[in-house]
Amino acid sequence: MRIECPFCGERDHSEFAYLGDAGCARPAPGAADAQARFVEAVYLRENPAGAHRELWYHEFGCRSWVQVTRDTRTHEILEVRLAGASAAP
Amino acid sequence: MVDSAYGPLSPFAAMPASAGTGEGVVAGEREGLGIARITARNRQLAALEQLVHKRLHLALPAGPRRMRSGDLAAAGVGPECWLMTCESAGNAFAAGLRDSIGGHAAVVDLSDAYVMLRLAGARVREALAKLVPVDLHERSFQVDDVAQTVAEHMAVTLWRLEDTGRGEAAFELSVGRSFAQSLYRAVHDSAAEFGFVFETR
Ligand SMILES: [Zn+2]
Repeated sequence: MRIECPFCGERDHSEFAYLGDAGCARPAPGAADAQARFVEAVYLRENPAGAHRELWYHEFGCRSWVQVTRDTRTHEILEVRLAGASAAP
Repeated sequence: MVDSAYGPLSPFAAMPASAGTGEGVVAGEREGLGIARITARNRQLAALEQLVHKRLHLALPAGPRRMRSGDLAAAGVGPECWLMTCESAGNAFAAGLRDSIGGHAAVVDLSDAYVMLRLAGARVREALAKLVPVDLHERSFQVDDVAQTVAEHMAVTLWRLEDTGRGEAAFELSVGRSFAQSLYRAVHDSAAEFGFVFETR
């Protein structure tokens, strides 16, 4: 599997570290139902067969966080962009 | 005051200076180089580019490329981040940078943190091909192209120099100082079949 880093260009996935789901927002810890929300956020995740947005870190490269859209069935990389302010919500 | 008898020692001083026969790969250590990483402060990129252009007469490259101006060079190593080098300037380089552009960039002195090897020769691409997972073909990796990648599990930064006077490819390869001997060993072993020579001044 090769990932097209927006800065470095196409690199082997072994240069990257995988973090996980890019769509998971941390619940507000002060909310009344915080415990239930955290259980959902930590344990109850979608496991799509298809496109999945995820965060990777280009550790042995430019050390940027990138948001990768990957097809979980084929490992086809559909999109890569720098994570952070410019990334999709 | 008497000078100390304990001067700086190259990490390569005790390493085998050659391998195999011939000079397919010739290596040397880049000594005395001032090295600093600069990172644009938040929303200061445009101001930093203008200041560097005005004070250092250098255009900061936008991608993984290297720009040179006299003794000075800037290599793009990440978004809004550059590894700058200055010949023979040592630690004074980063101190000077902090004074001149520190308002718009975080400046970190890495002169002692990195060691840098210069590698040249008719077989240098073949030796490097065994170490880094980046295509170094002359059309794919051009003069002043920069790559940060991995060589035998070590994070390395490399760039291509102008070909030598003999028309042979040349690169500079840097690594964290504590990895210096491991990287040297990797280059030495990889280049042995082509003939490896380490030149000291
Ligand atoms: Zn990268």
